[in-house]
Amino acid sequence: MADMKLDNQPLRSAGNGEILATAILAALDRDESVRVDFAQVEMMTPSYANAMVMTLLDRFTVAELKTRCELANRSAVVIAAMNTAVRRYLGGIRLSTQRHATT
Amino acid sequence: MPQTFSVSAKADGGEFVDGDSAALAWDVLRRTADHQTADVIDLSHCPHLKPYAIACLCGLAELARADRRPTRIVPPIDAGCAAHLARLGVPAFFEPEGWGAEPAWGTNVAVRRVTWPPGNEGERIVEVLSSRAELPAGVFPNMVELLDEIIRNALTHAESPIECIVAGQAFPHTQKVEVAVLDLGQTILGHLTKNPRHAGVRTHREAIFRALEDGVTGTPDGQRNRRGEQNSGAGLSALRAYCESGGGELTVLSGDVWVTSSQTRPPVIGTLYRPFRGCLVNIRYSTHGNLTPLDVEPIL
Repeated sequence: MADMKLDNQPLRSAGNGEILATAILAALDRDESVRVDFAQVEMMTPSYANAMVMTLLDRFTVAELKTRCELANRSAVVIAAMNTAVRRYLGGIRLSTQRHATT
Repeated sequence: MPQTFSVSAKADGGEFVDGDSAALAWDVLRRTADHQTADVIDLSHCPHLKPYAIACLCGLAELARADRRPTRIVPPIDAGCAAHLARLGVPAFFEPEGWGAEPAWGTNVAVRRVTWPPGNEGERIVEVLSSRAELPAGVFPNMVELLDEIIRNALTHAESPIECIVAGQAFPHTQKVEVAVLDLGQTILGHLTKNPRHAGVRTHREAIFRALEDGVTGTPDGQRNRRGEQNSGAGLSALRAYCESGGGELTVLSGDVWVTSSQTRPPVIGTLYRPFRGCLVNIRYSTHGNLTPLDVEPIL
């Protein structure tokens, strides 16, 4: 199992959310499972949560992620931010890069 | 001949919904709408300023500074108002011959200019306000997250020459916290219609309502925003839902329209004397209300 630990910076930008998701996806390409420790994280903006969660859900289903990716030691606000992002994705909302360009 | 902008003496009720167009905040808004900088801003007769008017004043000062024409300020005669603005740090936005004072952190007011990339300004401001606001448990991080989000929205979408100004005040007696986020870049309509999905939006009113919906963004499909990031259109809708959940109000002002939404009545819509070149988001939390409880049963 791959282990990832986040530092104690609030998680704010969509860019950083995408970076974390990309790192998780790369770890899942190498290993069967990954554990991400959020113990030091107190806050997460909607932008960060959406970029991270929607990037993951673009590759894996919720069930697959629950099996292969352990999101450990999350605070209540971090869980709530991620839940909202999951619900939005399941409701059909996508990141701008996940939508096909219209002409 | 120096151009002087004298702020009127009429007290600012700060109620967008009342639409008191003679109040001094509207003087400031009108001036800000046209990006009309002045050599002197005269607050002599100013009795009180709400956060959104302070944000506009500081925005005008920043515009003038960007034009290399720093604005001098004449402080209010009213000692209470002068002290209030000094505590906020407002004099720092103007020529030093105003009334010098270090901003006093630990009070119930805060104003900051935020530039890209934003740091912890949102958290710092909510910290200041929360010391007087007696926020219920768990509310602090949500307010910070959503203020961060709106600041990022302004810095990302607005193309504002002053980046953005954030001003906030806690009102302990009425159990309200008010925070204004101002940019002086493009209107919401201008930004939204860059996305072909919303190219059919014709009016500022329609654009504001569209922007308050979940999943609506001006970033075109398949693209990233000008900061190189992806968007999903969450910011304003998330803020609106959270703010309204506790009985608060959210006002969005852009172009020739302002819209105030709350759970207790249908949206109130007002028109502006002159189109506002930029966007002002005014958040009014009601801190004694039942803000949305956290959804803490993990899905992932």
